[in-house]
Amino acid sequence: MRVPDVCLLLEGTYPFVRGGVSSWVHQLISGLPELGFSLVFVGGRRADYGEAKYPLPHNVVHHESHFLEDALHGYEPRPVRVPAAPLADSELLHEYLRARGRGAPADPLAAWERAVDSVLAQLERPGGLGVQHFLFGAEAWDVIERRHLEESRLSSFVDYFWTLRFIHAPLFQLARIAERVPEARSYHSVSTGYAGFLGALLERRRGRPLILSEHGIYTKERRIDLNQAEWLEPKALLGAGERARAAAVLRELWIRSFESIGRLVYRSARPIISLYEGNRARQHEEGASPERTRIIVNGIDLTRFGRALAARPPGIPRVVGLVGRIVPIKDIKTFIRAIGVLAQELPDVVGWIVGGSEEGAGYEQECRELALGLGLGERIEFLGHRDVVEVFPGLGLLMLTSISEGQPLCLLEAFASGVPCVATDVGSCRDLIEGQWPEDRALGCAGAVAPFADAEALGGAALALLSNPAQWRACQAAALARVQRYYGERRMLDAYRDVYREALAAGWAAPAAELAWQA
Amino acid sequence: MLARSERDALVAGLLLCEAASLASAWSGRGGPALALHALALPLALALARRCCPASWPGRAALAPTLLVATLPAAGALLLVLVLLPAWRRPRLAPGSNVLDVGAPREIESAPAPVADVRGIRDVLVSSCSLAERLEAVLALRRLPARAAVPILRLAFADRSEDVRLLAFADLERRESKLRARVQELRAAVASAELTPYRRAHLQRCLAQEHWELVHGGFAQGAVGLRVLESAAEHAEASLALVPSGSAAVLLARVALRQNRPQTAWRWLEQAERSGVSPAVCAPLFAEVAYAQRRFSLVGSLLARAPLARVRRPRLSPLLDFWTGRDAS
Repeated sequence: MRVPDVCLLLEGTYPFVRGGVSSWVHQLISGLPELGFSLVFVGGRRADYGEAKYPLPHNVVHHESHFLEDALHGYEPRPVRVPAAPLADSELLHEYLRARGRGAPADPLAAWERAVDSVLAQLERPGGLGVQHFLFGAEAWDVIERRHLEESRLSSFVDYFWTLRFIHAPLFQLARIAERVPEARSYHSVSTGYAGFLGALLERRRGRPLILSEHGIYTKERRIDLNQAEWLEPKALLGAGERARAAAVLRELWIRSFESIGRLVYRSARPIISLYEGNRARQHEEGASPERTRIIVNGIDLTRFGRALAARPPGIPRVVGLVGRIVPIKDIKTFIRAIGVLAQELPDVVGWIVGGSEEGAGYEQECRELALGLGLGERIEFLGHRDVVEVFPGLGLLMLTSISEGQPLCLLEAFASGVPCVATDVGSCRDLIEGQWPEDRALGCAGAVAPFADAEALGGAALALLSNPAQWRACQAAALARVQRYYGERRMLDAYRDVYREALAAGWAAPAAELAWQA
Repeated sequence: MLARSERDALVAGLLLCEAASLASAWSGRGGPALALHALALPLALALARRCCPASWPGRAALAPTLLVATLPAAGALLLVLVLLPAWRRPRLAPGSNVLDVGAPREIESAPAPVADVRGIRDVLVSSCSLAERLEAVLALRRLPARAAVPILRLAFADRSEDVRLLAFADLERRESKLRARVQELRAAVASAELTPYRRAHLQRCLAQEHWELVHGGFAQGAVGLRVLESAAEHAEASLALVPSGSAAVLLARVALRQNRPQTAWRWLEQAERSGVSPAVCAPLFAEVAYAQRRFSLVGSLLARAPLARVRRPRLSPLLDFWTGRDAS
């Protein structure tokens, strides 16, 4: 079998979940048919993922899925002795991670570097640490006990113990997966987190380059998830203050673990790619070395969306669309409220919500009730999944109400279809609508930007565009010019082709960690 | 630390050897009895070593102890000497206990929890520290919706996306919980097999949850008016089944919010007839009088509520103002 040129490491996305990242992955594979791809999918629970939502392109030569719910299954307690050297390295690695890679004197830093390489290279290998050592080794127990007394006494030992188990067990599982993943000439992770950690392991063990592309910032997203997680609060303690303090300790453990994984991945990947300057700066804050980072913007198939442009009816349809999954992060409720604001001035306006709700049927129900409550039952249409090329000709405006975004593809697709956009000021939406560089800004404004969760502002901006044909046409012209000049698929694919070419030229070296060990 | 099958095998072997040894000794065969006992000793040693934690200080002395444990007097004395340090050894350092442990480093270096609404608002508006502002938003979780929601909306304007996202998530969580509760109650009310009392109770709960949607700021504007109407419908449905003072009070609150003071007054009178305390009704009567611009009545209505001062200490300045007690 042909050795794939690129092994894509995917966490919770393609091909099982629809969305911007999955569409991008599909576009990347389909757009580079000269390269062979393999896919390694890492998910949480099997039950959360059904059938593949995308047909795999012909150049995908291998696909395998792994689920982290298996991390602690199938182990019978038995006595094991934890080897001293890897345990010492593991302690050093944790010191490095606790220091967050900052302010380290030269000598310890060298020791830490060696420890990081050693642990990643030897995890679940003969002579290295294995999950049995972690789960059943008396020495591992002693370390956990000591760490609890040193750092986390405000949480109960039982909670601390199980939190550590749940944090670490998937890492051992990923190390076992790394041993079995078929060979590839380069590895490309689409996030840090677990998929990125697998990439860091493969980079060391196989001596192949690891490329990292981040659409959002994984560590930031996990931090937000954990800050709102109620399951962290122990139920056994009585006082709310005690519960909150104990939860803070456990939350800090989880957040620190994801930050640590992020730093290990940043340390292993080259290049580290983001979609826009804001996220690049965030990567630097999270520990990425600036010389490794670069920006490759999204790109879309202009020919495909040219068909949508050609199919546009004359005039400006009084239809405002939202393209995205029906999930809270898209803030569909604010879209509905904004349509309510708009309807006060434009009685014939209609709102289309284009996207599925497989992740949150309850949320869709809330949105439908809100529409009914606002008396917009007739005006808001939930269209489900649709081919957007067929939808865009019917839109007068695309509205994006998300509270967090990277570089939304739907905005670019709307631009290419001749649809101006009103979007919340998140991610790179402002850059897309108003332009980034002086010559980009000179193209004009492709719509309007408003604060998030502000239905009045969003509705007002939409009203200003829909009721002013001259301004609307100027926005349409700017949108078309911007997307055609800077956001074509060809540019993006060429940029990734170069990245892969560099990686493949640098590949096939002996594994760095093995060289270090031989020395 | 010891696999169950291995431990069972050791225990079984040990018991078998000792039973056979005892039987041999009983039948007067000293040689085989001694040999069997000698065979049992390494099994006992293996079992003891594996069952004891590695950190136990007497672990190293187990072997010689067990070898001489059968000797009269000396064996028992040695056993006590070996085990004594383990029994006496404290789990924690001397003097430490659960109450006086310090906070872990992360918590000590983290900002102190923000205590009250004003403090949280101040931190959100003026603090330069992202960690402090995140802590402030987290602290809002412990506050009721009506206090937390306005501040959460304030956090939407924060310069950090982390703060904005956290505030938004908390708001969504609260709203989803309320709406899920409404759905549950609606499903329960739809059931045909309910006693009038149970149905009235469920209708009252539904009215209360609708009221909370408005009072918490989750339903505003046109939606808010619609939700208030639903609250009134459910409360009236409850009252039609079983007379209830609390449903009448809720109807009065709804009517006040709908700017229908006369209706609110009538519901409050009904609530009083149902036995609701003046401490609850009098401030609402006063509020209705104020809405009707009958300012001269406000003071006397509030004066009917002596318990209001006790139950709601924050009302005291207001009571003093309207009843003229702050004149001194």
